[in-house]
Amino acid sequence: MTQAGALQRWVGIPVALVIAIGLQASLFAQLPLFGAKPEVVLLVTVAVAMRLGPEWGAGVGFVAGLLQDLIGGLPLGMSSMSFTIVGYTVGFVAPNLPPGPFRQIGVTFVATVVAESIVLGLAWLLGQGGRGVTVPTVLLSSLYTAALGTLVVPLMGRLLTPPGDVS
Amino acid sequence: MAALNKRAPSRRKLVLIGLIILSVILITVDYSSDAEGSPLRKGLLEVVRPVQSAVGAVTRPIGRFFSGVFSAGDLSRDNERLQEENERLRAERVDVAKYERELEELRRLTNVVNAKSYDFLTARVVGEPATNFDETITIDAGTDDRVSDGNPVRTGQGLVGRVLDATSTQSKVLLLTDPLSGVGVRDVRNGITGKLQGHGSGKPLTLDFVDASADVAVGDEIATSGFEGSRFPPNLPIGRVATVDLDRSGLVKAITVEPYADGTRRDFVTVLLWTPST
Repeated sequence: MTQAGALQRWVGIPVALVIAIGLQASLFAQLPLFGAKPEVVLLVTVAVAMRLGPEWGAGVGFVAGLLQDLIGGLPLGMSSMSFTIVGYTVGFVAPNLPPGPFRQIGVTFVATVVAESIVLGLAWLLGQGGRGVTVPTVLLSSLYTAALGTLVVPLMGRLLTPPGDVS
Repeated sequence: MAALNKRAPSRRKLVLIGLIILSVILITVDYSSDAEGSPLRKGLLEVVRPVQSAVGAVTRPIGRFFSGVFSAGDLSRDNERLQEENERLRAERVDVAKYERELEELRRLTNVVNAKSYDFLTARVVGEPATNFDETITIDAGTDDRVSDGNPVRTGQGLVGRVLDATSTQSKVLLLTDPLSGVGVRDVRNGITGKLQGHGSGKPLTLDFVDASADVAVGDEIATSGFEGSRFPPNLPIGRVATVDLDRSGLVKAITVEPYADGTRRDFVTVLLWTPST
C-alpha cells in the first residue's frame, strides 16, 4: 500500500463515518420505509470490510457502532458489538463469495439482518424486550439498506482505493 | 513466511475478541448508569454533537421535504381533525373559564395551596429517533439553558418524556415509548395508580400493576402520580385508556394507553425545569 493510499484511508473512513452519522440522524430518520429505517452507518462498515478485510471491518465496525449508540438511545456498546462481529465476518466471508452483481446486495442484506438480530438479542438479554422492532421491520430495514448499498458501497470502494494502488 | 501466515489469523481473532470484550465493558458501564445518563456518554456526546448538528443542518431540510411529500395525505387528514378539535376547544374554553373561577373560590374557602407552577423553556426538536431501536429525540437546549437530566418534557397536549443526556447546548429526550421509560401514573377519574411502561416504537403504552378488580374504563384520563421520589411532578396529562382486558394470570388488568402527544412529530417541545427530589 502506498503512503497516499494509507493517508486516503485514515482520512476517508472518518469522513465517511461522520457523513453517515449525520445522514442517519437527520435525513434517513425522517424517511422510514413503512416504519423501517436503513442502517447507513453499517453500510460504511460493510464497504470497508469488503474492501480491506476482517481486521479493518471489525475496527471500523466498533467505532461506527459506538457512534450509532451515541446518537441513538441504546446503551453504549450494543451496536459496537454487533457491528464489530458483522464487520469481521463480512471481511472474512465476502472475498470467498463468487463475484457478480448480487454479491454486494446479498452481503449488505444479510449483514443488516445479522446486525439488527444481534442488537435485538442483546436488548432481550438486558430486559428491554424487542424495543418494538419486529421481523418485518428487520427485513424491510435490510432491503432498504441493501438498496442504498448499491450506491454507497461502490462509492466507498473508490474512496478507499486510490488510482494505481493495488493493495 | 508460513509462521507469518499462521500469526495473521491469531492477530485477527485477538482484535475481534478484544473489541467484543471492550463492547461488553461499555454496555456494563453505560447500562448501570442509564437512569441518570453516564459521564462517559456525556463526554463523548460533547464531541460528537457539534459534528452531527453541522451535517444535520444540511440534510434535515431535505429529509423534511421528502417526508412532507410522502405524508401529504396524512397532513390533510390531520388538518381536518385539528380544525374539528379547535372548534370543540373554543366551545369548551367558555366552560373552563367558569370552572377556574369556581375552583379558585373553593381554594380560598378551603385554604388549599395552589398547584405549583414550574419554570419552563421552549426548545426546538433537532433530531428524531435515528434508528429502528432508538426512542429518543434531540432538542436544542442544554445545561447552558439550565436544562438538566430528569427534566420532564411535554407538548401542549401532554407528557412526551424526560431529559436523559443534557450536554452544554443540546439534550437527548427519552420518550415514553422507550422500554427503559417507566412512569408512575394515576387514573384521574378515581385515583387508581399504576406504572406506565413503554415497549418501543409502534407498540402501545401499557398501564401495569393494576389490580383485576380496579375500576379502570376505556376513555379514562391518565396523568402523572407525582408520588414522593417520582421522576415527574403530579398531574401532567399523558393520555387516555384505549383498551382494558384481564391479564392471562387473571390477577391484574392488561391496559393500554393512547398518549395525547407524539414527541417524534413535533417541531417544538416544552422542558419543565423541575428535577426529581432525591
